Amino acid sequence: MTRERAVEWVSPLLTAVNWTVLGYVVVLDLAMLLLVVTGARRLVANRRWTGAQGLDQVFASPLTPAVSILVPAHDEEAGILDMLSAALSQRYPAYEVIVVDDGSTDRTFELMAEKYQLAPVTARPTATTQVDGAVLSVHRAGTGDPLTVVRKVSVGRRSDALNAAINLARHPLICMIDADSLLEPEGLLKVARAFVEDPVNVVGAGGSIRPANGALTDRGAVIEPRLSPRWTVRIQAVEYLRSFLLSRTSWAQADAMLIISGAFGMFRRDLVVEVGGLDPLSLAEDAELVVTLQEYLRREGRPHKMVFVPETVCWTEVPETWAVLGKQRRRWSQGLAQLLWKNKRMIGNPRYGAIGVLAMPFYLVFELLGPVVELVGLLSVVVSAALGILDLGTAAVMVGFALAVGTLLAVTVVAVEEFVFHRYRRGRELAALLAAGILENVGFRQVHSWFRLRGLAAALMRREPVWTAMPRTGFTTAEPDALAPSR
Amino acid sequence: MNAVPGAAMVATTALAALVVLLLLAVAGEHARRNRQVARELARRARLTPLVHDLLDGEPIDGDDALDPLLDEMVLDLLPQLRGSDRDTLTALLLERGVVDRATEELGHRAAWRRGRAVTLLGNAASPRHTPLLAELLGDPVADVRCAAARALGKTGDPAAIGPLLSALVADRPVTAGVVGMAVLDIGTPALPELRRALGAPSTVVQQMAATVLGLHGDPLASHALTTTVADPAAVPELRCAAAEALGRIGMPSATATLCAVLDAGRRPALQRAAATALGRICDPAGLDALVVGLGSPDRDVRATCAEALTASGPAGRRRLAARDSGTDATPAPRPREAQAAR
Amino acid sequence: MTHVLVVDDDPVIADLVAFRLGRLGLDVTVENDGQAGLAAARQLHPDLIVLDWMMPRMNGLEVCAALRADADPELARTPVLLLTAKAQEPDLERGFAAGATDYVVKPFSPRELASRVTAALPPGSVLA
Repeated sequence: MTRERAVEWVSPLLTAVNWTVLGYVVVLDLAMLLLVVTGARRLVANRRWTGAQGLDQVFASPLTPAVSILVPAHDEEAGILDMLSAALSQRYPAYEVIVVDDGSTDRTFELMAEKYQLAPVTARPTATTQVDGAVLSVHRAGTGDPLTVVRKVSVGRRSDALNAAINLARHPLICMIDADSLLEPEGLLKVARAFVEDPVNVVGAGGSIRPANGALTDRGAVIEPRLSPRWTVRIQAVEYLRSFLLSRTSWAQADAMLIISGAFGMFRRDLVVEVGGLDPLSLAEDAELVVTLQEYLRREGRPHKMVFVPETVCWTEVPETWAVLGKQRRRWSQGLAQLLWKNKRMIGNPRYGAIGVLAMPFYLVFELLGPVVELVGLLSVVVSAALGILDLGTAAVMVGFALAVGTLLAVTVVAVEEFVFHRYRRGRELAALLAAGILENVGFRQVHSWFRLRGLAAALMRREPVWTAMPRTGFTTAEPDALAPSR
Repeated sequence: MNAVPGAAMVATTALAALVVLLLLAVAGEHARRNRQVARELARRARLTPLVHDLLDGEPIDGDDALDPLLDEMVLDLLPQLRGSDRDTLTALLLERGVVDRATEELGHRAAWRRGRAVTLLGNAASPRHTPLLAELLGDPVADVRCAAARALGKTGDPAAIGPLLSALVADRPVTAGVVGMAVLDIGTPALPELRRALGAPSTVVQQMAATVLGLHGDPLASHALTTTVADPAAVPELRCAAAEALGRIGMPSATATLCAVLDAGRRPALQRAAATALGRICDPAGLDALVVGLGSPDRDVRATCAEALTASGPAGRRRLAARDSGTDATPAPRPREAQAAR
Repeated sequence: MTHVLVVDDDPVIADLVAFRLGRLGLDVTVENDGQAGLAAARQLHPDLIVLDWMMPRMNGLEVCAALRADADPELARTPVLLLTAKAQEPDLERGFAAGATDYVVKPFSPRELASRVTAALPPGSVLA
């Protein structure tokens, strides 16, 4: 075959791929824009009249259910005391904080023990979800703060630490928070309000997450939100804003919540225990829990309402370097792949309502397969250009169009931030946010696709061992030794 | 394909224009808000002494007295206050026509206007408005219904109990949590109505009445509640709520019934409610049943009994310790998780 | 002159309390967060402190405990009146355990608060 013949044969294919990918990107951005605008409409309506909240009544009411805040912590000496300050000064009538020191090798435990005068107590478990790492000891604060600290052997999984905490939680609601997060003083109250007002139907609720990097904080209180000077963090700020605040607001409205972030989510304890706690095999245990609850409750025909409280914020540390970010996104992508594979019979299944028909297909097509399509497109454009079959003028116009849609999305997100939340007082923060939103489309998006593609590949290759009864891998071998001193 | 790039060009231009418009709007909004915040701070600082003068019973006049922000400041302050200062401010709102304006807004087309008006009337807390507010318990918008329920709670008017309880089971219902808070807010004047509601036809209403009576610790309800707990024909959730209420009321006359329910051992949820109630009542006559409960086949019942014994004071804790170390006279297998915890 | 320190993160409430206490002829200083409140207490040595519980940076209980543990015995004995929306029994117990002299629950009556402050101060500190 001569080169000309090959080009002739391949050219229509490449052109088709180019157009398909372009169409995909535009449809994705338009879909996000639609979600953003839907979410924004509701938020604007809320803005005009906030008196409906009745937070004072919720706070004063003896009917407000008590909450167990569960905090998995592994080598968190840098932020654990600030996190606890924020958690222990929540404006909430009755709650406890359970920190699981998951095999920390630094001074995480010592810092807590010193500040809160921890003393060992006898554990009285309230549940028996699966925990692989041995629980070494349980401590309670001697300062009067409602704080319990559990020391356990780490098996390298967040879900294991959380299950250990669930087993000791005493209150009807559990709230999972990351150890590097700062909860706003009314955070618990605002999220719990959903359970107070509709105790029969609501089973889970989540709040928004925003990057804490760069914000001015003091002893656990965010004094003034600011953006980090790092562009990786700024772009994540836009991402979080878009996905947590807006897409999820829309999903919750459509009764199709698929992800309540593990960094800040509240659930009914009895139901979490009923489904066996967090899935020890999942890499995205937070999303897995939501899907498991939805699947289980819908199948049983029980109430399954999940809500989202966008105005509640938990400030969390996000990765600052590409390397850490890459690892995190690979894990998320792999986790999503596992999740969708495990629950594949829900995808497109009308029995599971909007979750099955809308949310799961959306995540499959746009989140999971997105990087494949985008990178194939990029590759195909490069090959076309190399072969000289790319009409540069057309290509430029079309890329310009895609960028315009992306920019509109970014600007809309920033506009909603300013009109509804206006957390950033200084104009330059808004400008930086905007610039980050536009920059996201060139460079970040492509690198992000690469991270996600690698996550997907990892999921595909490890599918068997992950999904069929996975033998307890290397993690659990430390258990017998570690158990000895506790008995 | 030439038409496509052309169309894309046009679309891109349109999008770019939209982007520019949005940007201008954002910049404008940001500047406006910052200016407004600064101005409002200054106004508040000027008005604060006026509010204090009002509390002193001094008349106020001048331009500042006409500032609508003054009404807002008073409304913000009201929910935090009790006593004569609160009454002074409420009277002021009436005098300034704020209450009448809100009453007119109750029928407004926009839901947020109705909601705001309802909230305002709740804060102004006058039984005069109970019928008007009760009407909005049937509002088509859920947020407004909730706001109406809250407002009724704040009026402290026992006449609101009937409409509130009916709203639980209306076609457009108000959620149990919101009704519960509102009924509790009304306080002890609600007790006679609530005792009557124990005999209501709807279990949801009965359950709510039982819970709130318990939270108020109403000893006069304890006889009716005891009957409900003992009634095998009653809905299990209602019996649980009644048991819980008996625990909060704390009358030892309920001990025998609660022990019987705990011993019957058929419904773990009810047994747990009974055990918790026994723990709260702290009647020595209930300890035996709790110790027996430690041997229940249901893990949660065992845990609740242990907790209840701990709550029952020194005698209960001694029995629990004796059971844990195997020296208690009551023969039963040791609960498994007591060992696991060691 | 008798000096009272009011620490509350809600400026409207702090100003209202300051106004009511001012009417008693007391000299009132207002601070809006726990840390600033503690610093002011150490500097001014007030005769009484009205303290909110839930505040950013340092909550009222921490302030109270820090005062009680202060090296200066006079400061450690300063009467502290907790003014808070935390209204449940265990909260009251914790408040008194941290060293509060009195406890007033929000929503509160400013006049009642004034009476309680008067009662906690030595006789004759307040205008008749």
